[in-house]
Amino acid sequence: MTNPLMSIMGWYAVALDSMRITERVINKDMRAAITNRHVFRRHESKEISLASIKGAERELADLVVLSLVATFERTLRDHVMERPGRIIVSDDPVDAAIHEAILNDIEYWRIADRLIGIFEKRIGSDLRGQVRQIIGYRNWVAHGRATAIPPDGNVAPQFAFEQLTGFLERTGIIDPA
Amino acid sequence: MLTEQAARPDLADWRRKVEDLYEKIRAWTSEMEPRPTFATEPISIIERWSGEYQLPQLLIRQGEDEMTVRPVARAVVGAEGRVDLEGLDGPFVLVLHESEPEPPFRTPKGVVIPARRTTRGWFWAEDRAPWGLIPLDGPLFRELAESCLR
Repeated sequence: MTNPLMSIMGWYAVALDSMRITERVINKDMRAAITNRHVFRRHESKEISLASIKGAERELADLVVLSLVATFERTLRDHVMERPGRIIVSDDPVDAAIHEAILNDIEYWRIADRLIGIFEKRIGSDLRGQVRQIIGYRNWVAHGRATAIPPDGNVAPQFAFEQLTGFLERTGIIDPA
Repeated sequence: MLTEQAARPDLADWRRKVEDLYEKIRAWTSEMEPRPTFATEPISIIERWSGEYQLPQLLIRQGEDEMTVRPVARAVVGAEGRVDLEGLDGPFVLVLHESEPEPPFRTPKGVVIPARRTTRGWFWAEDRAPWGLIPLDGPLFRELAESCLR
């Protein structure tokens, strides 16, 4: 399986570059590039436009982390849900019902403890801890940044991509790049 | 990441690391033409381990153009410090890795994953594929700075 997180980083790079180019357009007063259809035309000064782009870059970075964690979680959960089918190979309807019940149960496992925890024999505690911290950061963003400071430290999209990819590679779920 | 070795980061140590980086940057950029000028100004940072504290950010000016080297956080998931370069381009994310690099990892399928880094120090976290960690040196910093200044 190829890395499903790569496509997220692909659109992030495009969006980030687009913002940087817009910053250049504004900074270098290339007025013809901005029309009445653009929000920047309504800003009172160049500084307001540039500050608004910087703010949008920070929001984008957090949304990328959110998206990376969501895709990571789905990938991990789908992988884990395949496993009981390999263990319970039977035509017995009771076995099938047990299989179905296990799958339903897995869908409700909390990612930060049970899903990550089942890989403790394969993945070192440092990486598991970092992935939990990234999930904590995702939760902080998703719940409206209820506290002024993120729970376990700063998470840039590059850091999240690196650690989540490392986890998926080391579990054998995706092929190493 | 706050590893076990660095579970209680030390503000004086973090300040020293940032100032050491500024010293390197001053030396690296001395080769740029026209030669840039430097200033610092205090900024406030709030982190859970420390509360609010102040560190200087470095302003680099070249003619009418200006960029900043801005400390973001000591507590970073996956590293031991983050500083951003911002200007016309950016933010370019610089990260500090102080822990020993991990050895290569063998997956359950027998594939060997090489270590992402082989040294310690400051790195640029690439902002495009392959999203690697590039050791920060003079030529790389000047390339990033020129992008921020022009």
